[in-house]
Amino acid sequence: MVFTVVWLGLMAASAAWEVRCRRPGSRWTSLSELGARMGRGLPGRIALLALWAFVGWHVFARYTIPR
Amino acid sequence: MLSPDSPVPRPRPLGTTAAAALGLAVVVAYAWWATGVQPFRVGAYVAVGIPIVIVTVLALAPGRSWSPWPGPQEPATAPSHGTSAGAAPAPGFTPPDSRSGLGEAVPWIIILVAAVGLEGVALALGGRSAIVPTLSTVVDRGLRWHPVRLLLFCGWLSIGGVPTVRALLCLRHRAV
Repeated sequence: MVFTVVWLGLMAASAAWEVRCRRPGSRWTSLSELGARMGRGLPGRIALLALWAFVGWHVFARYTIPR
Repeated sequence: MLSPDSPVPRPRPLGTTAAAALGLAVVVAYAWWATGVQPFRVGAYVAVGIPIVIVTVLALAPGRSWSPWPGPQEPATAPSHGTSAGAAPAPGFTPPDSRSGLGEAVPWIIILVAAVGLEGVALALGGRSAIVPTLSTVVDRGLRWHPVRLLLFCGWLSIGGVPTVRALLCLRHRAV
């Protein structure tokens, strides 16, 4: 239970930090900027695509609802 | 409220708005169907595989970039997302090159290290530990509700699809 809360905290922190980074004039890099920078080159784009495809495949095609 | 110096926002053409609304409705309808099929069945693999194939083909086509900023080979004046064709960036818009140091990404590195560490411990405990669950076990608990699956699926689609659509729109701009 404690570590479930830790996971939820990490997700909330990521979302909050992304919003904070996207504010005008922010000196921090947002996750979307990091992704955009990676996506400029073909290897980075392939890596991002593979990660995105794996997440979709794992979460939406092969999920098991815990009892 | 707009100040006298603020640029007057231009209304979008009606056709563009209608096309965007129609596209959104199609995506949500597809997501509703895709999140309603049983997992581990052919239907689930097809439902997830179709967007993966479409995004992969579009993203890896020659001349496309996911980056909303000009790449190393592209001229800096090329029309790109966040700027209109050949115009200066919007106020407050900071291109990533101006903050390319690793220091600006430290909070993300901390979050990533924490997540990877937690996932590693959870996997070492068997992956289905009640004490330290994996990220997918935590997410699976939310997947029992169809609206939650729909919301997450739409989020996943937008992460892969939005940069691709932006790249396509940028290419159309350049072609005109």
